[in-house]
Amino acid sequence: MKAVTYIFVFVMSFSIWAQNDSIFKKANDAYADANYQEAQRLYQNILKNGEASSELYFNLGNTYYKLEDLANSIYYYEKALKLNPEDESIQNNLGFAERMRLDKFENIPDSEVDKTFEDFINTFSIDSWSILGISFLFLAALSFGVFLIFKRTLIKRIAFGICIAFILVSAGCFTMAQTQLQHDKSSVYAIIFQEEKKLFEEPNTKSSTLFQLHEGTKIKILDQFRSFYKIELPDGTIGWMTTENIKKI
Amino acid sequence: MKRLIYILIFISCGLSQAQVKFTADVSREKLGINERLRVEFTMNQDGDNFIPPSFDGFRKIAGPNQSVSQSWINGKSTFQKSYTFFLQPLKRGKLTIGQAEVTIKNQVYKTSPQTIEVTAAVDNPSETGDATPQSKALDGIHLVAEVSDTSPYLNEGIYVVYKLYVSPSTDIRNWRALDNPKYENFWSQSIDVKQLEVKNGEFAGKPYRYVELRKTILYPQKTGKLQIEPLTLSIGVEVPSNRRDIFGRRLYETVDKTYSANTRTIEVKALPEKNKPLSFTGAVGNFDFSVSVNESKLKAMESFQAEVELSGEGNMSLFELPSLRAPNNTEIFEPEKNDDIRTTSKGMVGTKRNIYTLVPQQAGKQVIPSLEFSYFDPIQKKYVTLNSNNISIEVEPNANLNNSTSNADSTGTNYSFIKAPNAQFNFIKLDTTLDPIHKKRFFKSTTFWVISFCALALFPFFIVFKKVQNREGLSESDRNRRKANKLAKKFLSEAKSHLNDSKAFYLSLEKALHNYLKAKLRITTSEMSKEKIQELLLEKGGEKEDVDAFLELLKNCEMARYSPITQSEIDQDFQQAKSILAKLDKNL
Repeated sequence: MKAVTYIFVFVMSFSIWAQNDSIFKKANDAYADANYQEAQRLYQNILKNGEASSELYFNLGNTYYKLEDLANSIYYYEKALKLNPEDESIQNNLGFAERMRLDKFENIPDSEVDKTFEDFINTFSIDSWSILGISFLFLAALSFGVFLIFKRTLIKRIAFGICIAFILVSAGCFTMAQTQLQHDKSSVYAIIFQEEKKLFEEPNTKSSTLFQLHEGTKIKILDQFRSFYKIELPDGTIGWMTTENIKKI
Repeated sequence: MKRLIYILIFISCGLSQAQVKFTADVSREKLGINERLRVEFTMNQDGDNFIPPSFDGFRKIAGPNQSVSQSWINGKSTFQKSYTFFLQPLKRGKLTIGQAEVTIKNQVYKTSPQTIEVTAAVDNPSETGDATPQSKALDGIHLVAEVSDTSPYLNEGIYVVYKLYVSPSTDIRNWRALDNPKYENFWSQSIDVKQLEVKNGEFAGKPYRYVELRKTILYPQKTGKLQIEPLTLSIGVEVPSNRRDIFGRRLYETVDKTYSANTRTIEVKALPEKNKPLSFTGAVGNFDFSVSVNESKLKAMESFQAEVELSGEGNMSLFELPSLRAPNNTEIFEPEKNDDIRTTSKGMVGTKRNIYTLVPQQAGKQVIPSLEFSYFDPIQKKYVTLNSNNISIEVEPNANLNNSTSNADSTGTNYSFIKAPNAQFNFIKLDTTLDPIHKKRFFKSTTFWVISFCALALFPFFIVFKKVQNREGLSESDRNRRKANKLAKKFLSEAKSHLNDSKAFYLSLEKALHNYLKAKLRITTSEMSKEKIQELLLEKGGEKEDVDAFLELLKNCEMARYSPITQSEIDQDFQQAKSILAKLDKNL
């Protein structure tokens, strides 16, 4: 009986996936026919079914851009970029959407070293890094075995060297994964969904307002205190903001 | 003298006031059922609160027609105010017209009831029977106020038309307005009647000529019962006089008579509160709403115009257009108002325009947010909300401006110009592989820890594996020999430490050599004789030279116990022991 249930669930989920693919095609058709409302509805259905991809988010971003829904458009482009940070067409269209935004900031330039390091960390995802680490650990163990079992001095020496090297590489991979995880956890970004939102000096609506932020602005959430987020702007300004009408990427 | 005059005046006033007359006159006391009856209630002083009797058994065809006349004859003034009703009997027999009431100087006066006898229908129904030609002419004039809708909504346009009906048998000369009605609680706009047009119509079922004297559009500004004050006209009527000209024709004379239209009460309904949109500002009618711009692509700091246009009919001049909100980084100027509203019989018709001038300060795509306008449609009896489209404007960077000028605007942010992306807006992606949104991370999951632990466990595993393999591959004697080898090495190293002390050196050297033999030849110390050693070594395949050198060494050791040895000899023997052991070991 249990097995039957499992099979049933499996088939069901499979059919939902197959359905999602067809919904995706339908939504693309609706977009191509400039029927953006319908396209938006269909794409959202796929999300409701619990599936997503960088392309789906990108298409949603495009749809909202066409509907002139600035905040949603930027929100989904950012989501797409999160899954696929190097994609040029996403970056390009995000640029289009950002031109509609009112708030424009001078980005603090990252130092060259930081950037190279970050790029290097981001070459692989967290999971890829950890799989790499495990693979190297296995290789190190195998070469350690070779070192122990073989009698010829040359082989022993080479095997030992490789073993040590692989252990170091593996440790490096795990460090990368951990750094990236830490980075992901500490950098929570969000998009403002309100036409105008005040940035306060303190987590209190009566405190003085630093300035107004506008719809579509991407902010970094540093902390939360009661119903306030401590946020950082791309130019390094730090302030507090009420939590409503903010959507985390 | 003066005092006497005053007294006289006072007395005469008192006399005239005392003679209040309020009478009811019926045109006939006997009439056919197909004829009409005129009832006139006349008073000789102005009274209020006129309450007509209930005309039981009659149908009211027209009335009350109110007429006021005042005349001076030989310095004597006569005032007369009358209410006239036209009645049609509904049944035969004796009918009674009840008492009418009026209040004059806070005193209520009543007329006496009149009895009318209604007979069968007569062949030639006369109009008002024995009316004199004079009164006939005067009765042939009616001033009527017609209202298009007596229960409009607040701010819904209605109109009131004053029509002057003149019977074909009456001629009028001229008229002038004595009292222009004031429309309190109404917004009014009168439509000019350029040329009076005489039209044929019916009044009280009889053919009449009429003219529309005035037409006024009214927009009620208050709910509840509102009254339209009557229009009062003084009309010069030509009435036949009793004099005749030399040919015997009747001479006509002009009599000024005052006519006023009836007071109309209008019940203004409030607009429904239900579903009232937030953007509702009081517009009632039927409208079209749009926002347009004259340019959709321009450079920063150049101006463009946006036009908010409303067209349709309704209370156009009684509300304001919703104001345009510009994007924050765009300067917006006060709008230029351009209204084109005409007042027609349907109400106000036309267009209202607000033309804004906007100057974008910054490059980028800017969106003028949609405007909402709502109005109440009195015909469909519901609110209608119209939204204009979002208008997006492509603002390109202006090369003439220094790009580094950043405008600190109200938000205090410094804007930097964002470059327009060079590429085209990319089309959607057509292929994808969908993954579950909430994918579990592998890193630090249980599987991850298990696998890493397995990898780490391989290290100790290999060590143990090697150990076990070694132990199984060696026999007992092998292990002993290993021990001996080690011992030899150990004793040679011991001997090395005694290089300065000849006795100790040779003692340990001899011990080492013996140990070595023990290990290699498997003989005990007691069996050791030179011959035996030589034999065994040769047997095992040792070279003759090496064996001799070995024996020589042993001999040296024995000799050293009894003879003094120089330091150089000790060094030489040590080196020799080392080389011989190595050599022997290679062959054995």
